[in-house]
Amino acid sequence: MPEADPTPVLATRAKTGDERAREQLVLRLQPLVAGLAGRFAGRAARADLEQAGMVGVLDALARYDPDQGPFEPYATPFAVGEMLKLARSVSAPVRVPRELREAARAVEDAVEALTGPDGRGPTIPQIAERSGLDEEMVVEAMRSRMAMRPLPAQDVPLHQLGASADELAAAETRLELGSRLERLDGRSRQLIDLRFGLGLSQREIATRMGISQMHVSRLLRAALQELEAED
Amino acid sequence: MNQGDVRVQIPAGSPSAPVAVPLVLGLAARAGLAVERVDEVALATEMLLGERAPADLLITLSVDGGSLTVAIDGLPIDRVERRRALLPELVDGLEVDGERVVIRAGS
Repeated sequence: MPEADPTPVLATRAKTGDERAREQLVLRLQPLVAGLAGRFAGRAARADLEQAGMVGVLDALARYDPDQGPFEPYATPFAVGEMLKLARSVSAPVRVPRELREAARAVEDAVEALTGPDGRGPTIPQIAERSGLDEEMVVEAMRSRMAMRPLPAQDVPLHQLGASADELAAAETRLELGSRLERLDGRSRQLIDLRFGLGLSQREIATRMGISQMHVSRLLRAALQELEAED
Repeated sequence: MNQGDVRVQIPAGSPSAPVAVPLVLGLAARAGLAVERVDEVALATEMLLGERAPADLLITLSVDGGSLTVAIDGLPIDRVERRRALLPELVDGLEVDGERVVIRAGS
């Protein structure tokens, strides 16, 4: 006898604030999201596509009513929608040649693949070797990547970041950025606190947020530009 | 100035980070820095210089073994001070002496 689909029950519990049910639901839907990310292969970094898909799943969860049937088919269009948004948003404010966009993606994938378990990222010659690009093109691709808009993403729950509200508040005090921080959205503010207040590396932040290091880099750059705009 | 150093003069009001950052990336590659260090020394350079030079600047970039040094002469002191809380996290060395700022990435 086939196992009954537990997702409506998990979704209902998650909606009432049951964190454990939420985590179980996310785990259960990871293979679906990974499969959907495959449809967009080459249009954005794999890790970022999966993270965008999960944003869609959580959005679906907020709107879900168990009377609508199983959760997975309901959540699928939400996940696909977020991935599409990402694929569209990973484009520069100025027109970037297709060859360069593809090189930037190849660089990003190489960085993810070559980063060791200790979190140490590859050098540019290593990226060049892995991606089949020459070093000049890797540098050019990194530069174009810096100009691309990051995917706006949701705030990450504090428990997932491994930092308490008090720790983040203390970090902000040490940074002495004052009211400039209030201009940032929640996610950007968390990033500044983690990177500069608590001294976590981009890689460590990426792991906690479930996104790629290069995505963290773009989010940080955007957050710093926002802070600079206040000057 | 050592052989292999790169010097760039940027007049006040001219594009600065868009000129300097490609040089930083290229020399960081030559120094063999890991990609995250490369990214962050470029970010520190952007923060210091801004899109357009706030004054007449002289930028000297040098690679020594596994490290890249970027020295910027002519930066207004208040521009550095406003960013002083953040810069040390992005680079492995930061020295400020009046209008001269030196940042270093790598060992």
